Amino acid sequence: MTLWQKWIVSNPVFRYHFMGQTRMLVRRPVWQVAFIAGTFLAVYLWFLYQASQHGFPTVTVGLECLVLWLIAPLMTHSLFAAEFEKATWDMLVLTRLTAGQIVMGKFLSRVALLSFLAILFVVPLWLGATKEYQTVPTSQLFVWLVKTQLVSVGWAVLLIAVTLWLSYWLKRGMVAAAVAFAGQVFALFIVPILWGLFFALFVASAERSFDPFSFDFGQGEWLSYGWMFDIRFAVWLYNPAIALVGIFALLTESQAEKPILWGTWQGLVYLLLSGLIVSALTKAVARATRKPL
Amino acid sequence: MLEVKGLRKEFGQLVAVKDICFALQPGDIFGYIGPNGAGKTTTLRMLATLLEPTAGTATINGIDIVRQPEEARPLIGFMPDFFGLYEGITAWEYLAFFAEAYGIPARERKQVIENVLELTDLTVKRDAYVETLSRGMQQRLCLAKTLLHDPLLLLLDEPASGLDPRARAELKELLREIGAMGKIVIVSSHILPELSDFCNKIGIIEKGELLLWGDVEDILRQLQPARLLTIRCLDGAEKLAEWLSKQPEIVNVQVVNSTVEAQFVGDDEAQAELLRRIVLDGHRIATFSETTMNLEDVFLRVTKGEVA
Repeated sequence: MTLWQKWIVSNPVFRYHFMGQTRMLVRRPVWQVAFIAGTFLAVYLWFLYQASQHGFPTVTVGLECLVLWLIAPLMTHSLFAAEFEKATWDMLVLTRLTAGQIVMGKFLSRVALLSFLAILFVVPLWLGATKEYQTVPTSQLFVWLVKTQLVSVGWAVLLIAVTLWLSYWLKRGMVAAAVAFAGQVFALFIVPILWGLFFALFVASAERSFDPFSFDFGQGEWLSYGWMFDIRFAVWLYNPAIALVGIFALLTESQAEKPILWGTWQGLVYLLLSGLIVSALTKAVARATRKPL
Repeated sequence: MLEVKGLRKEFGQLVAVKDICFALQPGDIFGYIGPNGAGKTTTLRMLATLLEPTAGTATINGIDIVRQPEEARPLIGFMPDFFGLYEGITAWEYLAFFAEAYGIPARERKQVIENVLELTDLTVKRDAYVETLSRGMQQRLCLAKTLLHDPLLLLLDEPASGLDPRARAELKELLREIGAMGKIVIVSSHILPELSDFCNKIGIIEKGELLLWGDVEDILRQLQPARLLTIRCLDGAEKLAEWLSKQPEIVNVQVVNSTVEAQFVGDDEAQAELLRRIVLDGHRIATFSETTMNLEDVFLRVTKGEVA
């Protein structure tokens, strides 16, 4: 059995969380569904029209990040916690599903829903970008689009993995969601600010002629590949918001001045971290339930 | 066959289950009785492979539940006392979810689901959303789910708690049917009347210790060596009591509210003979009955009311 079959096709956990739960949202009176769907469609079409007329790729990416990064913990927080809170976990454990099927079924169901949301943003983003950056070659614009999605979706996938992990260990959905949001605010805003203050204090106390804020962004040897492994600036370089700002800034720069793999690398790191977290979670579930991986 | 050998569970300093041993055969319905906190649920969770014992083990058809939990699980059906159902799906979809999760082949699933729905009288509710079902129906749906993979051992933890009298009666009937299918059923409860009708074996646990277990009739005989006869005589209880006190098989006799209560040692033949002699002696007997101990009497006699 291939992993595709094991985790998705022959995995009832994936199907329940992807289709079964989603269907609950549309189990409303027809007029309500029609009203919500109609309103959404109207807003979306208006948004597409505005993007094609005026561009605003930055607004679209900002909106995409806001939606994906808010919704990722919200749609994941109860995946494990609800099993404990509603006492369905024991019944799931006694089935022949492997730990991998349980964890990956939950994880991939959310990644699939998230990808669907991301696709909704890709269309206006592409329309807006082709309007805004008319001088940029299409191939370069396409790479730029892929990078923005790698960072925004990659970070959201990381949030899903972290929230899933929290949901399993904390066993309380709302607590998991709260910790995930707090952690995100901490990683996106508080840690970069604190790290900057620390640097400033360090420079002032050591009386050195070193300004941590004046590193040559886009120039020199540091920029080719060294930035990827520079721990001093990791909290900024791996901040998805800063990564996205960089992607926009570098779009119109000449090739020689660009740090290599900017955006792609961050996105891959987020995905790699997600994989590690999900893998650790699968092992923890297998150990706790005495199930095979 | 289920063999439980020295099963023990410790939570830190607390010994929740103390080296319990018992064995059950297919068709046995085992009433696992004990007060709240006695260790019933812990035992069942260990047998269900959900909790690893500190010591001891159990085998189902020779498969060790501690060493081979994955092999044992297909043979086990467990219905916890507190359970939930996945919401947003119909009863049929719920069962289809578990049928697939239990690895029942796709071509057999439809028939299996129809069978368990019929057994649990839920066929009419197949398209109802699970959250709209009553508590009793949800209990039956959970039982249907537990029966999907045709387990040999059924572990039911307080299955009748929260059910109304009619739902309890239906559940009893259903459990009788399941027992007749040759499965080993372990039903834990602290509500004794609900067990007395259909269990052929019982075990009494208190403070983590299995105080006794075995056939219900054997236990009753053990705990009540003399039969208690209650006789109502139209000619006066005192006269009959005096006559009975002279009979060799009567060990004790007393008059309670113009009825004679006599402790009698002997089998059914001897009991019939005694009745014949009473009548031949000229006593006019209105009622002659044997009062047997029920599970509640057994439970109260054996336990001290302590928890682990």
